[in-house]
Amino acid sequence: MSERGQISVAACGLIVLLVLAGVLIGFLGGIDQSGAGVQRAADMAALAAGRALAEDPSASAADLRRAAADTASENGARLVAFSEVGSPAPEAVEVRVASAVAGQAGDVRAGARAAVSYSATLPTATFRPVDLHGLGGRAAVVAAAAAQVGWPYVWGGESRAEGGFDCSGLVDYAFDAAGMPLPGRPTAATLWSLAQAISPVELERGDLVFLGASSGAPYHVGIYVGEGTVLSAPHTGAQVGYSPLASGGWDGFGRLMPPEPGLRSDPVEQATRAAGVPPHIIAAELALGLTHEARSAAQSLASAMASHPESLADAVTAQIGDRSRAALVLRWASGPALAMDSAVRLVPTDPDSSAVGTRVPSVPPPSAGGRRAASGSSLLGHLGTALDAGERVAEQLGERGRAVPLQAVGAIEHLSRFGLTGFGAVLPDPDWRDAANLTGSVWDATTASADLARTASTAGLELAGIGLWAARFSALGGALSAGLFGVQAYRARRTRDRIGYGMMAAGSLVTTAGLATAGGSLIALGATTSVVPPVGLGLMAVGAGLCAGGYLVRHPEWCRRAVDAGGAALDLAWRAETAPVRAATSAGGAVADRVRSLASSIPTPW
Amino acid sequence: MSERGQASVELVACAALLALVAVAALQWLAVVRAHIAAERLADQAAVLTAEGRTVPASLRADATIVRDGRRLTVRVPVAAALPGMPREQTATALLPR
Repeated sequence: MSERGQISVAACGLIVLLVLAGVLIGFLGGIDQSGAGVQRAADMAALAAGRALAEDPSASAADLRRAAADTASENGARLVAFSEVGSPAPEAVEVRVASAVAGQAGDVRAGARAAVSYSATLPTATFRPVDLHGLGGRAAVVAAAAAQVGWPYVWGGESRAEGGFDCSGLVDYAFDAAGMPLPGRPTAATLWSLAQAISPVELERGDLVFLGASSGAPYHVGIYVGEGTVLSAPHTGAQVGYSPLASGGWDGFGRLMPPEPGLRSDPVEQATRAAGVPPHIIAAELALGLTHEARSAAQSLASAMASHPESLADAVTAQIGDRSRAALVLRWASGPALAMDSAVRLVPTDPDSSAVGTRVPSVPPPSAGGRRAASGSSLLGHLGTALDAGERVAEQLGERGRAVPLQAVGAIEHLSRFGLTGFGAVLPDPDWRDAANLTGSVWDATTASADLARTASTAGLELAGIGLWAARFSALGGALSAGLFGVQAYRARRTRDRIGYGMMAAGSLVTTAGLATAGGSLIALGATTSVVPPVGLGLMAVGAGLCAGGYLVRHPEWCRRAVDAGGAALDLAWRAETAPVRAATSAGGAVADRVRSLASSIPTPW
Repeated sequence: MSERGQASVELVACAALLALVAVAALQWLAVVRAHIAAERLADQAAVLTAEGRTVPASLRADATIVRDGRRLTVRVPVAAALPGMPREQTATALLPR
């Protein structure tokens, strides 16, 4: 090869290498971008549903799903699946989203899970709040008083800040919580004077029992809760609890509410009374599905309360074994008056679930900082970027399920198409170049037709990342090719060349027009996505077909060879298909000949 | 002109073309790098903000992170941007309500 030729080949090789390097960078960036967008939408959707659950632990699945769907839509994706994780009380939500428009490499999907944790602290300066869940009258008074089981007795106290509450404070609080406040801050004697005296046989749940009533000024009071049991704050050093009516020495019985004959305690109350624990906690555990048997739950709570006498919250946590669930129990039992904190965190999706993608652990603890963002403009900085991008792609390939491989397939497809063009450009023989370009045109026509069939019923083909840049290069190349082919058609001497180049020029022009239907986003460098409508895809398919036709017009010998090759292939296929029959026929003929030969060799007696 | 002289002229022309392509490739690299960084920072900042945590200073070192209501925008400057090329790359996330 001459010196000129060597320089030209070396220059072309270097340019091709640089262009390929640029395409490779785009490939890496394209994977990072298109996957990251959908993943971010999944993250935001999961967090939206998680926050809704944190704000209202009893929110319905439909409400949570709506919150996730809205946020996914706002971030350019659509929700395809939603599920609550954790039973019976949901502790997390998991979402799966897909790109809003079918991408060049199929539906890109991603998933995320947001876990919600709660914490609650019972107030220290007020009584234990209780949610009566619609109870009224005597049942409400008993329930409110029973919720205080386990509190320490301190004379004169009526709040936790004072160390507990005394016997009359308990009665005062119970009536107040039940919606029947008593005047002032009554003492036992005041309550005696307010009550209607009754006989012991008339006692009903919610009536009061007194000590010292015979003197006219009782010094102790309790609440009768039925089945021969009294609930009271007995004396210093003891806790609010149950005691038998018969053994208390009660000598006065009073009524503050109208009678409600037939009112009896329920099984939960009976179980908790036996164990000496507040019934509203066990009722909450049953309601939330954390237990199915009141008696054993009450016994385990009693044992936990014995270990944590100062804090019901700690006792419930110890009993259940989970602070977040314990907070939910306290909230259900105490009602909105109990302040509850919550935290929402993204967590890895369950690797055993059928989630399409798993979330990239892209959120480090704040103290650890984020993934390093390459800085500086030095060569090392660029190298660091490339390595970082490679690391990111490897991370996604490993962790994101099928989404990234699909994108990678799409990117490799573009890369291969440009490679074919580059390969054709460096071929020395013009006929070989035309053959390579014909292959490329057929490729383009097939791809555009497939994209059209796939996205005909949608807004079109969404281009992003390397796909968008490939379209930009194709539009530029198509416009240049149209001009060059037009000039060649004008200068061609043979009619078939003129027609062929003319068809190629027209095809390039139509292809470029098809790409141009994507609009300004195709040209604007800042745009990250662009959509080619179905009509544009149709134009691209027609344009690529015209180009392919132009090459065939210029090379009719290829058509002849193709026809010859087709004929030869058909002949070969016919031969292959009929080979067994022909072989059998031949074998049969040979056998018949042999039989005839044997028959003729037998000597005849006549 | 001799074939050798012609080759020299072509060498100079090719060198200039190569330099141009190399500069374009480096610029392309810088843009892609800024875009990757913007997307990554937007991911992390959006998640941290939605979780109610503060965005650490280390994430703000190489980018401008702006929150306007529910919209969180991350801008990363393109290193050594040529005239006519984008000066920065932007990524946006819409935070949950």
